[in-house]
Amino acid sequence: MSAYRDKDPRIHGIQSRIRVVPNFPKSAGIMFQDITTLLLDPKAFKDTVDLFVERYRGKNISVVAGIEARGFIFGPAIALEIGAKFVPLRKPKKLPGKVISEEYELEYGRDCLEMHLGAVEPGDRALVVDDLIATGGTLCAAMKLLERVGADVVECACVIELPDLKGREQLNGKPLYVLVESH
Amino acid sequence: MVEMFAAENGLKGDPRLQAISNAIRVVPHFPKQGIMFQDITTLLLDHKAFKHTVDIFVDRYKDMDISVVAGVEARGFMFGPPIALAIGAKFVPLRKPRKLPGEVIAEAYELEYGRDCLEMHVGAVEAGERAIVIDDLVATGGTLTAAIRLLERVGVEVVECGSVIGLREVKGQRRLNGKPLYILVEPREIDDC
Repeated sequence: MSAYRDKDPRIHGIQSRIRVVPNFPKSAGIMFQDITTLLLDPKAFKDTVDLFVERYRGKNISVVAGIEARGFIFGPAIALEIGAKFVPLRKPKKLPGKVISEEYELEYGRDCLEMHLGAVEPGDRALVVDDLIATGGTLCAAMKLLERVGADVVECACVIELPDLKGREQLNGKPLYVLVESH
Repeated sequence: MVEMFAAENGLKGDPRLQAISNAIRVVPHFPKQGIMFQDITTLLLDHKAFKHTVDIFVDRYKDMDISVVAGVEARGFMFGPPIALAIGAKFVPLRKPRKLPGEVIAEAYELEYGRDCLEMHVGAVEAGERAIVIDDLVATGGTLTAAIRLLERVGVEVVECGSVIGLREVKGQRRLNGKPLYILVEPREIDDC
């Protein structure tokens, strides 16, 4: 599900503010989708947040979970507007106090995402927010963390999707909403 | 006065400050023995208190002609963008090394043991812009000072730094090279929780 296809007039401005940086973080043909240039355009940044807020306001969402670190840039603003808690999902050893962890695969090796125990309650209706979905590994780990504590993941929301990497198929049938696609 | 606590600067008795303070959790001995860690994640779970936090900063900065809100990775990313959005400013993330793609400038700074480094994108900000730097907590001010230096190196005027939590300045120790610092609440004691 993509706002791009819905042709909301704000999408063009958002897409044009995303900068592609070749060969980052490693050379080997990776075209990095840089959202920091979007954040430098107050109108486009506001439009980005507004598109998510318009979709989720009034849907009884009680949790917005954001993935470190770029999910932290979009998630809290959305949470504040829709009246939800914001829950940061972090790399290991960053969150103080009791946490639960979920491991996930990287291209080479594994990584891990953590969430505070007690942040989310059974029956909470949750969104997972990140700047971009590629293979879907991180989003999948995020969803698992929330489901393990009994939350209902309503949707995953990202600014950008790389559809060629088929991350959408990794979400165990959970819906994904994105603003722009990049091939 | 360089260091301003909200309760002593216009918001005396404002019940929002107590709500914000009450929502912060103290975690003893994190990340190491002896440190009473001020955990703002519980503030983010309290929608009203989180909104009050952002609103207080927005009310302060909205008429100060601020075009840049800079936030230090990672907790600065949670407070800076909502403020930037509300006042119509850019948000500029200041990050650990090698996280920002493309051309960056870097500023090293001292830690208790060793050094760390903060980076900012070249071209994110322009000379003459008026900026604030936002973080969750200020202690020695080392990180905020590095942030200020990055912005000043490219000709930006740092108007003020804003922090949710701040320790009282130790007498004789000048934090932030004299730049104004606005703090919402003092750290909680473990017995308060």
